[in-house]
Amino acid sequence: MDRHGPHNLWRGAYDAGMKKTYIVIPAYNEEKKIGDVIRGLRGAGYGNIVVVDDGSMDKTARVAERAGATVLRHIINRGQGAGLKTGIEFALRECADYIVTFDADGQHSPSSIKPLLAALSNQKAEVALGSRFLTKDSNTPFVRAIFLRGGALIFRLFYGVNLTDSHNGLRALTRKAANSIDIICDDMAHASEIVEEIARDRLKYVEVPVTITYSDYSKAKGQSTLNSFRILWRMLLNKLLR
Amino acid sequence: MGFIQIFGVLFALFALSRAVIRYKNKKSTFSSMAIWLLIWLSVILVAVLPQTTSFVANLFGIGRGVDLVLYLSIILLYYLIYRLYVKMEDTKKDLTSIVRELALKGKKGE
Repeated sequence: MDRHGPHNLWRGAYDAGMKKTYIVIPAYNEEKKIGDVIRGLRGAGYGNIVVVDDGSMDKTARVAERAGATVLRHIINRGQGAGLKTGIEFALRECADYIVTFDADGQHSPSSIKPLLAALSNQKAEVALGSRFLTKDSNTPFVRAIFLRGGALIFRLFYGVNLTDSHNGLRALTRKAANSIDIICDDMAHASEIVEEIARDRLKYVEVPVTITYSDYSKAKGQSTLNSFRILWRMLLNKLLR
Repeated sequence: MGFIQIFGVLFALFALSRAVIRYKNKKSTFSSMAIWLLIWLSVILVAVLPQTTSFVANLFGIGRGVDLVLYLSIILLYYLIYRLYVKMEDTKKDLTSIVRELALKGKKGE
C-alpha cells in the first residue's frame, strides 16, 4: 500500500463522487492470493467487494470473508463468466452505480481502478475496458501479447469494436451497461461476449491503460494460450447459433 | 434368405409388437405407434427385398441402396449430435442459473 500513499488511494474511491461502486471478483481456488487482493482494494478505499467463490476446493471463501469481502458461493464450479454474472447481478441488486470486474490472482493493481471509474464519471463511456498495451508497465509475455493483439484484431473484424487488448478481466461498467450486458457463456469466452454486447447495444466504450503484473502464479492460473482457439470457436458458434 | 435377413425380419417383428403393445396399454399415442409401424415395416421390406433400396436410391441419383442408407444415416447422426449439443448447452445454462440463484439467495437481506 505504501507505494501509492494512502491519500491518493482514498481519493481514488472518493473521486467517483458519492456513487456506489462495487468490485466483483470471480475466484476459483485462489486462497493464496485472494486475501491480499481484497486487502489491497480495501486499503485503496473500496469497501464493497464481492467475491464469487466458484465452487473452490480450497479455503477461498473463508479467506475472502475474513479479509472483509462479501462472499457468494457457487456450490459447484460453473466457470469465470458465470461467476462474473452472479457478482454483477448481486451488485445490481445492491443498487450499485458502478461495477468493476477484477481478477483474483493478483495480476491487477487497485490503483488502476481510479482511471477506469473516471472514464465513466465524466460520462465519456458506459464501459471502460482495461488495456495492458496502452502502458509500458505491463510485463506481458511475448507469445501472450501476440494472441491478445490477434484477438483484438478479430474483434474489429467481427464486431467493429476497436480495441488494443482482447482479454482483460479489469473493466468498469455503469449500471446501465451492466444491465444490458448479458453474459451467457459460462467459461472464459465471456470477455469476447462483453465486446459483442458492446457492439450490439451500441454502448459507449473507452480503453484505459492498466498495469498487468504477470507472476509465475498468475501465468499458471491464467488461461493457456491454446485456449484462445477454444474461445474463437465459441465466438463462431455464437455468431452462427444466434 | 441369408441369416442377416432372417434376423432383421425377426427383430423388426419383435420391435413392431412392442410398439403395438405400448399403444394397446395406452402408453403411446396412435400417431407415434403409426410412425414406428411404418419404420419397422420398411425395415422388413428392405430385409426381404434388398433391391427395393436400389430402386429408391436410383430415384435420388445414387447408385446403390446401401449408399443411400449410409448417407441418410450420416445426415441423421449429424442432426442428432447437433440436437444433443443444443440440449446440453441448455442444460448447462439451467444448471448455472440454479447455482446462481442459490448463491444469491444465501446473501439476501444483508
